[in-house]
Amino acid sequence: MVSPILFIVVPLAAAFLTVLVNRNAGARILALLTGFALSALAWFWFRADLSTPVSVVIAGIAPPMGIQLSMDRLSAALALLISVSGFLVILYSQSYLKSEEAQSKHYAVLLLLMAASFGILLTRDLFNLFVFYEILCISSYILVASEETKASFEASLKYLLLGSVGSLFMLVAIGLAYRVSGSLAMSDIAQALGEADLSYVMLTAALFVLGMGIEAAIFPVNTWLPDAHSTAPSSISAVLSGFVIELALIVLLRISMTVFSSVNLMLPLRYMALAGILIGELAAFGQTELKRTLAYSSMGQVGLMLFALTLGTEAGRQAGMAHLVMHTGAKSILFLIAGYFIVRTGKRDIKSYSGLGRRMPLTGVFFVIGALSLVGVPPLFGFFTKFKILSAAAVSGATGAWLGIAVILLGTVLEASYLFRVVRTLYSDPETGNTRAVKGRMEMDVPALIAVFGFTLLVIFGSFLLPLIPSGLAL
Amino acid sequence: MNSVIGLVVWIVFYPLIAFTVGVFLGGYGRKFTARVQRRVGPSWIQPFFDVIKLMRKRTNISHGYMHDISLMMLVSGTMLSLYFIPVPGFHYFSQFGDFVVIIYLLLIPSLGMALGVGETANPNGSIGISRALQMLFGYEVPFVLTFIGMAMLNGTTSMYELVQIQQSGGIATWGIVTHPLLGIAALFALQGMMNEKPFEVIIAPHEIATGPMTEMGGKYMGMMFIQHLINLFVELTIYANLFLGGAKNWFELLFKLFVLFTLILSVNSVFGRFRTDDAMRFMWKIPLPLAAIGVVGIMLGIG
Amino acid sequence: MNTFLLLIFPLAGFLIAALFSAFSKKGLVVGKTFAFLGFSAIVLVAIMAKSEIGSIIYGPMMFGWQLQFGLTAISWYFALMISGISWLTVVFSLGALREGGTYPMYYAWLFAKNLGMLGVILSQDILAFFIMWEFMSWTTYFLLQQGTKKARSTAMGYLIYAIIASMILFAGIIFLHQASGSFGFSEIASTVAGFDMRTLILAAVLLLAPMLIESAAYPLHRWMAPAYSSAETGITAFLSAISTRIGLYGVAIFLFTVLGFTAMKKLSAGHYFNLQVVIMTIGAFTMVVPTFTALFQHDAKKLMAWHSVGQGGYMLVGLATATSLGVAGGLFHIFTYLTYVTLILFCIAAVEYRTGTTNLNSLGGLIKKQPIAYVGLLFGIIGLAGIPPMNGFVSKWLIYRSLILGGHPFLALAAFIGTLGTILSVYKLIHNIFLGQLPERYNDVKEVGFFMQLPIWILMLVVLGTGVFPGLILGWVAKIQVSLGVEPLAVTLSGVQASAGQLNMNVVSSVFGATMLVAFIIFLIGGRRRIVGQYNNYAAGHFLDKTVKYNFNYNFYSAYEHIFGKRFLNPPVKRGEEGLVALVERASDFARRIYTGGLNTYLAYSLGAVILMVVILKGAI
Repeated sequence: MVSPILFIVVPLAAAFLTVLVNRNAGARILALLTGFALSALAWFWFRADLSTPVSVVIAGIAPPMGIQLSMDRLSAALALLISVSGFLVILYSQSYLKSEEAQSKHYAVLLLLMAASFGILLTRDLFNLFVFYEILCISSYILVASEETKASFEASLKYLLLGSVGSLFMLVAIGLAYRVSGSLAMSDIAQALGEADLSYVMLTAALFVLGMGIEAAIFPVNTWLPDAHSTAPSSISAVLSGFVIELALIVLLRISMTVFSSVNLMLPLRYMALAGILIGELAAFGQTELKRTLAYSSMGQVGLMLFALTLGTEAGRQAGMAHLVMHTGAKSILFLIAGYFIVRTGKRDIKSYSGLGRRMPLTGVFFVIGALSLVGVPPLFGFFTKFKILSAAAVSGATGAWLGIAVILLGTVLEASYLFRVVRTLYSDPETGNTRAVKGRMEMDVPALIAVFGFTLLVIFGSFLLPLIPSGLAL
Repeated sequence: MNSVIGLVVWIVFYPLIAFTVGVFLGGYGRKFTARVQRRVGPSWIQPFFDVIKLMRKRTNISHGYMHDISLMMLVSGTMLSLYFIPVPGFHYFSQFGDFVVIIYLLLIPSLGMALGVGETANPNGSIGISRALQMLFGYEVPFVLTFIGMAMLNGTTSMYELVQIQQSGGIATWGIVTHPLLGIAALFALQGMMNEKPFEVIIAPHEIATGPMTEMGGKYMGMMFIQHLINLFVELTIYANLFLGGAKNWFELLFKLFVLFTLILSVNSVFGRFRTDDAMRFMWKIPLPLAAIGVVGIMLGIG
Repeated sequence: MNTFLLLIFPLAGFLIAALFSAFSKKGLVVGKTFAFLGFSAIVLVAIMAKSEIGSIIYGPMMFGWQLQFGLTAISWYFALMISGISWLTVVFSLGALREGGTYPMYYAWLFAKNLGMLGVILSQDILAFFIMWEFMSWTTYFLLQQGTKKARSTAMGYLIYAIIASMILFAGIIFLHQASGSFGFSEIASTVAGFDMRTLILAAVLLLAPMLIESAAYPLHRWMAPAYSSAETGITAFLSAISTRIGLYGVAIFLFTVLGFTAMKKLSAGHYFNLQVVIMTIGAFTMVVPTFTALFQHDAKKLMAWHSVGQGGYMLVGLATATSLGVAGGLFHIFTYLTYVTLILFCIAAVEYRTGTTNLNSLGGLIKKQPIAYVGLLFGIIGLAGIPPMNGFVSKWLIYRSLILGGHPFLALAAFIGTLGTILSVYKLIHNIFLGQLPERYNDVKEVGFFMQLPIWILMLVVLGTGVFPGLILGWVAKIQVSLGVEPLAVTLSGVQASAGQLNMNVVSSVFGATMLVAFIIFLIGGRRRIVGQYNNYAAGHFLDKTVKYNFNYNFYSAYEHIFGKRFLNPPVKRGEEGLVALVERASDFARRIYTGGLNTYLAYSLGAVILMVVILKGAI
């Protein structure tokens, strides 16, 4: 049996090795190999029998003092998603990153980010969660700033400050929890909080949820997201929008349902989700930059997942998880392609992309498929997940479920209109001198094309994965 | 066998009868107008002489095949609608088409003329057609509403059955008596339908050089005359059938047509011409509300 | 088997044509041949599928439900119309599509659109219906884009309406599935029968509103005319003819099969107001308002596109009467409109092919140059205006009679007003294109080639043939009525039996023929005629030659424009639509402003959120 600890050790080690190698070519290959190895590992765990979660204790120190990792079906599925999409993004970066950059640094931080992601997924210990969360955040700050422009520094700084606030909230919440339980293992805390004073639990829960929620981009603490996701390099935007915020969301949900089960967090979270959908989609509707539009759209989509996950039914959780997988695929496609649009035109405005769809035929088709899936058009994956969310909401009978359905449908209308405004521009006749100046095809480079194609396959055939997507949010 | 021969005789002679009646009505109309204007006026059968004269002209200017066909459509459309209008002794075709059919058949001559005039490529003609179609809209709307009212009331759209129902109780069951609002509204519409003043915007000789007739000469003009004369009979008979109880015999029918036509001519003689838009506004301001009130009355079961 | 092929053939056609256009820049001939063969196969399969009416084939499993497809009487009727019109469009495109100006994905999207429409009409449960519906909406969007630059922005307008429609339908399906636990029509119908008033209204709105948007019913109609008119003309014909009528198919299915007509009557407040009256009133507005908007258009395609909106009103009103006459009229009108609108738009396309324009103010006098297109257009407009002996008359006659005798005098009046408006605008159409003076620049215009003429001839034959023998189609319409649960119309080959009214189109048309003969004899009695040129004309003593502009076509109905112009060109619905867009933009601006970019506000949000959350958690106990 391969230990789940490898998920953390392998990328961590690879990250250090990458820094040591400090050559662009070496770093690229190393990162690619690591991504592939992680994917293989995740595939192994995904296929393994996890009907009872596998726990490992690090360094032989038993909980509550040691580090406890636990692998269940949900973690395995998410690990697979993270590693495969990480691998594809690394593949994309092979051609996307400029060769004059110090790529080893970039890959090292990216691998660090992946290690931290696996960490917060697997850990069953609040303090370790906090540590991994910090690593995740810090590597995100670095990656956001890695284009080293004024805007990216500003975005990174904002992200850093707000992320620190989130960490602070979490730290206070963990301290409060420790005070009553005397332990950092989630199961102990859950038990202790179950018997504690309700107001005390509420404060702890609110601080924890909103602290974690900052990384999970829950409305109204998602304020850092539009800047960070739009100014980061597109490969990083794809990672951040593709699985980082979703991962934070899942962990948040898992902890609110298990650790803070004595208070009803689902209701406020559901309304926050709806507000997030509405505000996110509306804001995205008014944007003129493609990556900013996509960033706002991610906020709306996170709201959608949160809504499904907080319905409180098995069907809802399943739908939310499915939508998460779909969103990883679709949003990655869009962000990765947006990156190449910026590379090819040097502009960020949607209107300077006119005619690009004809110059980049395959890319254009992938973009349209990604957009269609995000909107939820049959027979693409997005339709299935949206249908599942809506029918779960209708059946759940939860408060605000029908309101939620209305908001989601309205959000879809907005989403379709802004995404297809982009598509229209892509296939319109070029007006700016910029795109007309270069003749012939400007298709993405082969590695990027393969990476995007991988995500496209997920979006097209994702519906066959539906029975494989687990939904249990147990510890 | 007897009935078949009778039918064939009717089919052959009905248009001729209608034409003859039209000739006398047309002649009467010209005489009447002349007397109002203190002139002697032409002969009573002057329209007949006109037709003969025009058909014998040697110079016949055509602008193309559509120009020729349009005149045929004009005459044939009018004859076609004539057959579907029941008159005393002849209502064979009524069973194959009701009043809705007649309304539509009456559009064939308008359309035919419009197409032919279009091909003559004269802007005066086109303006005339533009006005004719706009006027068509003006008067048909109130007229159709009165018909809808009558059909609803009597539960049938067949003109023959409408006539039968009105004749069942003498004058008391005439449409104009049972539904004076509808009858009056239709009378206004009839004035427009017959293209008499104050609604005579189509020909308007001083404005658009007789409009549709600008490029018509010789036998083309002759056929327009023929159609006009048959049309006099058709339009007046429709009104008589709808509101004046039709007729039991031809004498009664002719008398009703004569009275009706006199009424229309009297209005024609003393009025000037409306501007096109005013003519339409008038149609929608007076007859249409009248008819609407009448129909609402029928819906609510009053009268 | 044939039912299955009816879905497989368009799918295969779509994939092959898409691949072909992706890999080949040229080879229009191959593409055309493939499309011709493909659509011929679809027509054949559609015809042969008649024997399979009533059988069900099962599609894939989805959400624990087996999708069902199958033919019913009404869907066979639609399948024939869809495949037939597609075939004619393809034949027409054989001639009309040129090498340089071709659109690579034209045929691919035409196949896809066929798949969507056939899928909708074949689906026998509401889930399959919705999936195919969405597919159809999106393919329409892509098909609409295969045109001018303008088409892309108007297609966007279509897309937004279509998405709204889809989302409402989505909500409806979720709702009905939740209520009935099933996607099947019959299970839902039995659940709906037990609904109380409010739930029933909700179900009716959620199901019918999307159908009304798709069928461009007033006041949800504004997407259609701009979108259709700026597409490529062959596509305009195809879409105007059948695409929007899928919405009416939905209305028919939902009204008669799912909601049930008794439910519709149950939704009433007092004697004069119920759902039926609401739908019929919508229909009446649809008949009148768009028709008069059409009257003021200066572009032939736009004019026809507005008529496509307007004529939908007749079909809607006919279906909503739910009487034997009215439903027959509505269903038959779908067919008749399809025939003559395609005919008219093909003729317009033939003119556009030679002159390069559809602007009604710059054409004229083309009757001498393109007589076949002229005759085709003439047949078409006679049909559209509903004048005997063309088929349009029969369907309108049925609708009028049902309205008059059903006690809806003002609806009947609206229908008649719509018809008069139609006559006015179609005369403007034919006059401004074919009549009047021929501009010098069109002196060497020629008739179009065989492939463009063939559909025109076929459609002329159909328009006249089904006008003289309406029973050919009405016989099947009566069968549809049986399957929908409406009393069937008593039809004969020549029209309608005396028991259901009196109409014998054989008599009407033969008398018309005879009187034409008489008129011809009268014409012959007169002297020989002499054909003169267009400059040999009365001009009040002025001399005409090609330098003199002697034509009347701009502002053809000047008095109407004087009276109504502003109201129809800037109607309240348009202002409402603009207001809604402005509202969304303002909301979007507001949402954008939440993200001020200032850290202090963001920190305030974070702290505020914590406090708010605690308050909510406290309050929730």
